[in-house]
Amino acid sequence: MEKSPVLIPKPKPLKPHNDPLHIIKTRRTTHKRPATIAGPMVRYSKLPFRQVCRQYDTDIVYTPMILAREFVRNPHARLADFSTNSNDSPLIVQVGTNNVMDLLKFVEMVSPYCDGIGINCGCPIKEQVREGIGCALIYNRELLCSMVKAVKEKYGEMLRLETKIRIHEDWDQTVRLCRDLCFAGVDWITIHGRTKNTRSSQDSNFEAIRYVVDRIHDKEVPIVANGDCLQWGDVQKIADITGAHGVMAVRGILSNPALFSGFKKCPWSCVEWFWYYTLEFGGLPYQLLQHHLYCMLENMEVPRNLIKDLMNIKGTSELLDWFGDHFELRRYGEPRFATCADIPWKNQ
Amino acid sequence: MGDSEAAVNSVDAPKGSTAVTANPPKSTISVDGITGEVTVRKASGKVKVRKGQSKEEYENQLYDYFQLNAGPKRTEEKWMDKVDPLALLQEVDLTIKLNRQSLTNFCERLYYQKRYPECLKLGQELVRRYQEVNKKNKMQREIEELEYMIKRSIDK
Repeated sequence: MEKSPVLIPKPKPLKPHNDPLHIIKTRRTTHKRPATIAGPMVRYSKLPFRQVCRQYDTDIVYTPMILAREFVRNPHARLADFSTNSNDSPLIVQVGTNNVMDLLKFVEMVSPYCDGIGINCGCPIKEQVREGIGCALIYNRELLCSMVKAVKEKYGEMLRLETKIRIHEDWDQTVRLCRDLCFAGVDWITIHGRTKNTRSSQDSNFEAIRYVVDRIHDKEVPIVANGDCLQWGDVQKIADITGAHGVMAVRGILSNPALFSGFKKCPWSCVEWFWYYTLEFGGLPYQLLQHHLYCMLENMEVPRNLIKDLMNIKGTSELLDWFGDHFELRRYGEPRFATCADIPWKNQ
Repeated sequence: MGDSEAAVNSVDAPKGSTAVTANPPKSTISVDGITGEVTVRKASGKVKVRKGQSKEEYENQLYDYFQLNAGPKRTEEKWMDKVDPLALLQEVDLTIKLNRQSLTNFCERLYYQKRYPECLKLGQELVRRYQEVNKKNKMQREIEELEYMIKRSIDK
């Protein structure tokens, strides 16, 4: 039997409430602060975590990087890499790719279900760089700009396209890349203030981001600053130094998803929301669940011996019982669910 | 080597393709602009070819994604209330790990919600069915997880 022609939906309509470019451009006026963005984390920015971030003043949330090549060829990869729902917005799907063809196919398949697409040009993992993906792209200006141009020529204002880059050793190369990306039609650029070879233990270079911002000012393309946003106080500081329209947190928000709400430590409510969303949306691989909770509890300064216990647990239900043994873990629908910031210790 | 030297390198690029050189250029990548076939030539001289995708192959993927599945997996709150896991158990291939994970998740959600009698019933059925396809004890960890919930549901 012959297959009927496939009806491909158009990109999701952009309105002020879900248009990431509008949000990035207007937050300073409407909220007296830069736009707040939860960046992409390998493995960790899955739907339950994204929903927790949205509870705490995060304007825009990214998915983890999804490899275009796999996504457009493999139904299992699609199932494992991307799930969403009607509350998962504004959402940027980050893509890892090294060619125009795969990128255009990926955009066609994903754009009806997200609010923007970001090309990963910052990942320094050598397995990706070797394949021409991630930060290999900042050394291949021509290819990167041709990818941006191809997408924007096809979709224009119907689709938002971002590139997340790292700085070069020579900042003028970053300026040149950004100016070319603006010319190719990119909607905004996120700049991580580290080079491909800078270790995460070294500070992010905000002066370098400022250097770029000042030199592409005439292009009117907003810049989002990334790197070392570990607490609320860093948000305004980074925005002031860099002149960026938005600030992206990654490691900081993994440990404290309420960072953008001004909580200095991860509030207990994040743990309760995270348990709820994880089980409500259909679970997470156990190691991911465990790592998220480890990061949150460590941020709350739960004693090391208890955290060590947590890391020895081997399954979801046993972990749930462990939480019940040590803390008052309220379930969704129970009184005072997700209302508590301090750790509700049991037997204290 | 400076960054500028590691830019586009068109040497050996077939017609209709672009070549990418990682920085520093330990490998060279050629991309066929029509099919998306990617050739990675490592510093050791080894060549890896990432197969391209024909128009027909892509159309099959579009059909699977948009027509059969209506896009990506969507999980709204309470979506699991609308699915009967025991009925699902009859439909899915239990040799596929993703299917088993999905069914175990129903059990874990019942456990979280403290619906212990339902958790017990589903858990027992899942253990029985998983054991039928448990070759070489590869599902041991998954079965242990279910047995833990069964034991605790009885205790509670």
